[in-house]
Amino acid sequence: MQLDLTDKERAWRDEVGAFLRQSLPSDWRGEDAYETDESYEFTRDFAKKLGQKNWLSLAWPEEHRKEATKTKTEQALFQSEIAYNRAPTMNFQVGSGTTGPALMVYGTDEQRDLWLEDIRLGEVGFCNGLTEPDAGSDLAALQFSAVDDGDEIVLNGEKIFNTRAHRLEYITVAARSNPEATKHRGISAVLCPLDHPRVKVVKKMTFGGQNLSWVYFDDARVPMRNRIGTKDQAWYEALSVDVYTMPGAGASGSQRTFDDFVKYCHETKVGSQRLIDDERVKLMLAEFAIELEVQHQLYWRTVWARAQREGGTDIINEKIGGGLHQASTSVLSLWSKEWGPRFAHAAVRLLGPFGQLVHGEEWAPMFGEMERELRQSHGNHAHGTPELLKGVMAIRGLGMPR
Amino acid sequence: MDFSLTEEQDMLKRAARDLLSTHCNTGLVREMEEAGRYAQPLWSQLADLGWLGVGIPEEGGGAGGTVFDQMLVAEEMGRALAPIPYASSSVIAATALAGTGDAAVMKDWLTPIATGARIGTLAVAEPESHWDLDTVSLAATKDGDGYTLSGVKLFVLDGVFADDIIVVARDGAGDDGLVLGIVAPDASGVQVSRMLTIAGDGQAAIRFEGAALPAGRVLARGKVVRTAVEEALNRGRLILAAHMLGAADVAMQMSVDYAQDRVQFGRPIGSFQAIQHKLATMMKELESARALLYTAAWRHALGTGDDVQVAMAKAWMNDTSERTLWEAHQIHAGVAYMMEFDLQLFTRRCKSWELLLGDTHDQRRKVGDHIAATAAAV
Repeated sequence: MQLDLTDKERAWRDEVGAFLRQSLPSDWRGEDAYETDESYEFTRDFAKKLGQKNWLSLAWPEEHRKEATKTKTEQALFQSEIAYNRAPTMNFQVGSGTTGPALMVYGTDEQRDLWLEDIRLGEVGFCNGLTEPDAGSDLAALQFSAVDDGDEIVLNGEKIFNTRAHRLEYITVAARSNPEATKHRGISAVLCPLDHPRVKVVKKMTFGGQNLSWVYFDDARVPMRNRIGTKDQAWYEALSVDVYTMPGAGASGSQRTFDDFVKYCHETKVGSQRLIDDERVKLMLAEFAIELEVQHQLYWRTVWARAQREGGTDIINEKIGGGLHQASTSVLSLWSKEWGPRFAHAAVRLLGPFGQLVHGEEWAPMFGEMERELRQSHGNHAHGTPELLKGVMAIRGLGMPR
Repeated sequence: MDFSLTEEQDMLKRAARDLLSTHCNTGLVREMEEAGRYAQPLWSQLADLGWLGVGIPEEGGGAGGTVFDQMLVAEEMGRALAPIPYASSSVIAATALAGTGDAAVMKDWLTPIATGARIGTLAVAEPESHWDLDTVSLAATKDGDGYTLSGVKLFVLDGVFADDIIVVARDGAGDDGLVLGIVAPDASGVQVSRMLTIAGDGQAAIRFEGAALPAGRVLARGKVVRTAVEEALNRGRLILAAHMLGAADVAMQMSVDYAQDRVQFGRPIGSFQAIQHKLATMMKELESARALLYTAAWRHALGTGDDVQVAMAKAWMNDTSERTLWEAHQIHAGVAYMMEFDLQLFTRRCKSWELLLGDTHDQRRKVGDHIAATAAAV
């Protein structure tokens, strides 16, 4: 058993953290990183800096990153530092974590030559085109079509909820290439440039202030070489690839929000005392601090479990004292879906009338951060609503009948 | 990082589960509760196997090992609701005695507890002091080389079974005024009475009315009392949390089984989303509790942990235990409301463990005070 970081791992975390803090402006808060042309310019350059350090490909095999693969723990520390410092990432998690690995496993040499190096260096940004109006949690119900025509593939349909598509170069769409096959067996993954003349990107804003685009394809033709993997088999290939990808960031982003709020409570007086000296504030902070620690501990267990799995060792439940159900990743993601909204609401409640003030308002506490968190926390449906996850946990994890 | 148990830890845990599932069923739990006794044959069996000395230093007659090992065993005892004075004697009393660092105390008093030959318990809480040494007020009045004791101790774990009562008293203000003594339950001026609790266990109220504490029974004085008792209480919190973890896990498993078997409206109730969501939440909270507790105990064993981590683990387990047991009853509904159904055995004991040595509010306050006293991280 070894439940803490080694000195070497701490040193790596500190190296990443120091680089991020030194490369980001001292008052960096992470908002608007994709919004204005000026802020996006900075974001682009920043991704390239990460690429130059070879930090976008930490999980890739040595053959493709030209350096030894970092350990899962090191990858997790990198992700955690990125999230804690709110560094802009230009969606590199998709390029280096989804499209890149899919190309490495299922792509051709020609495809790898075309795209991998640019992904590794942070030169191009990718998003995934998955959700459609009638295919959300039930993704396999998708209708978007890909029809082969000679050396080309013709794409038709719409993809929605595409993160930052208006700023990126490529979208990887999941498309129905065989309408005759059963639901999961007729899907292909196809790369399409977002500046394609027959592709229209409509930028929309979320309630949380982030951009999500709707992308429309109208007989958009791409070369055959843009299909990743076997025709009709994407559900089992590109869409299910889970090697060479970094773990998520766990609760580091939540920890940062919490720390910012604690700082505010230390610095702010209401009546005759600081907020932090108010018993009800202390108890509220304690409750959320405990739950954050829970998430950190669960996170490191899932990171470790994944390293074991990739190393070829199956986790035997009993080995860690009955813990780590198959669904442990669901447990962690359920936490992230429920903790953020609860914390945001509780914090805003404590701020009283100041809680409603938005970024840009002179009197807004924490530059409107908690107000923004409150709005953004409504986006906890992504990758499945809490209720959907609970159903998965009960059925797959606990064997409940459907 | 490596989250797997070592070979030895894994064997210890499995052996404990095997032995307890064979020798401690709910029939025994009910029988002991009705008789107001603890399971003496089971206790002797554990003593013979050397488990009672796990986590106790060798110079005190123990087997070495750490609180992490104790926690693994305690989780299994929680699963079985083992009616034995493990937390009170083998962990809390033993840790307090070991904490004095006194060779004579180790030899004379700790060794018989480490082997299970005698039952010890630590008396800290009072009517106006809940395991908080600052407010302990039981009076130790100078009398020759020793003291006489006057006052009341409450919630003394397994106090009705104890051969040795380790008592925290004071002869003056602050930590310098703390006195740790050991008294016999049948000594003159000591009156032990069973407290009537939801768990139907052996907690005692102990009245001291001019009871003698001769010099030979004074274990420690001053700051070392605080260190020894705080460590004993912290270990006790981890162990009670482990009891709750084991017991709540069984309550969840009972609920899972019941939801698969019980048919209403032509379908197993486990097919209803309302039931599935309750079970998923139980699983989430128990997995969380285990992750937090194991890490807290592991760090505590290494000496790299702190009070706050223990408080977090106890607070979260308290909450989880409360909600898990409640939801288990909601899923079982009428059947579990009847005394002949076993779930209530778990519910009642978990409620006591939750409230002992630091309830949720108390433990959260500790965490909150720490946040307030520490400079912000950003």
